[in-house]
Amino acid sequence: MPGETTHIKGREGVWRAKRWLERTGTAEVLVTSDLVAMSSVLEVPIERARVRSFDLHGVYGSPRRFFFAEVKHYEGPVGGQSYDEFLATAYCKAREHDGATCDFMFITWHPFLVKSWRSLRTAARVREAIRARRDWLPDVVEVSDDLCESVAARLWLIVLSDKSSDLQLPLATARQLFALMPDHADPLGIMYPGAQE
Amino acid sequence: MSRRPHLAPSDLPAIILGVKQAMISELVLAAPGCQARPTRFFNHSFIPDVELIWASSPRFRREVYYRGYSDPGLLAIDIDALQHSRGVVFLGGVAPDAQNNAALGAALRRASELLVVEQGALEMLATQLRSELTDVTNAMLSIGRGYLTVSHALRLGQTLSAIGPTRGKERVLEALGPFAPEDPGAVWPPIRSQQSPRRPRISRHLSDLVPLRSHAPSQRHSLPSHRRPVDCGLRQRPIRN
Repeated sequence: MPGETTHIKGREGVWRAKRWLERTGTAEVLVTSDLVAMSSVLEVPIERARVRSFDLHGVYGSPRRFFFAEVKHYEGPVGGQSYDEFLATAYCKAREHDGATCDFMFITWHPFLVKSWRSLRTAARVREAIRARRDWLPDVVEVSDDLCESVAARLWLIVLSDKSSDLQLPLATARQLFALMPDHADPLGIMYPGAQE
Repeated sequence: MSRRPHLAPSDLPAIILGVKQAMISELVLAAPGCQARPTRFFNHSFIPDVELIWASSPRFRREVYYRGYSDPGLLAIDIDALQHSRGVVFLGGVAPDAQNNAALGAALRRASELLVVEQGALEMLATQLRSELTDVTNAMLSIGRGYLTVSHALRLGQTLSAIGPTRGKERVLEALGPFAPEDPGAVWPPIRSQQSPRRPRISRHLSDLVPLRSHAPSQRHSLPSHRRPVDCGLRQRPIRN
């Protein structure tokens, strides 16, 4: 089971992160860890270890890009080990065919590892994280420097606060704006006859 | 130990189409007088998945939000966020004991304008009722409020089906006695005596059961059309990436 589903604060965090992302007007969260029928899209099979998973999956931007997100709704800093597990999980996801063009977001409510903040999204950090978990990969697979570079380029670090929602558009205004952006409302290229233009 | 099949992001469009199609089929079965118009969003926190529009009164619309959460605690948070909406929350995959969850019950009481229905509840109700009684589900979908579970729908359908056209309104009231606004598993207000200038052509007892507003949709429909599965004609375009 995805870890956040067992923790009420974590659940709230996932919901808040989803709502924050969607209120930006550029992102849509399609799957959360609690959406039963689809939550396995969040999972990352790992060699000789339990299945890892992200908390959110969605699309953003134009042209549309997929993303996976890990949400840490903690009142204190996240430990380095937790962040490195996220990096290693992102690396393993990126090895899958469908992970080839995904971004990876780490969404937290508290700054962490501030002295090494600038190095958190580097290929060296990704390489270090996956090498420390070498048993997550099949024996015959080497850690790829190219993939580490690729993953690092697709990492996001987002620090939210509960106050951040105060800066977002009021719900009623956001809904009116969304109605004016028909192209935006097509996250998966599904064409619905009769959908509002 | 068996493991669920691992989905890839590229699998999602087909699943989302299926979910929306199933939801729309059930909505239109329950309210044959309305058009269910899908939006291009799915499971969005504040944009509906489907908009219901009644042909006779195009200005009368109701938004439908799909929620596939199994966790009643998470659902409670979400319902709080939608509490000022006058829409419908369509639950797929909710936990069987969700109606006993205190947080969800409290959220439902705060969201006094929302109708929350479990997947299968409307279908259960609509398929049990005779054609002249489907006005109940139509009215429920247009102005109903509360939480309709599958088990409540079963009871309600059995009760209404058993009441013949010659039985009195008191019998209906008696049968629906357990339903109350304080009960999370209730559709309310279930009963109010109210004369409507555009009262639909249904039995007097049932028009009293679920009052229709003057701008409520027309109830003109035939049994065969609403019993048929709805072909929503949804198609999928290649993902632009």
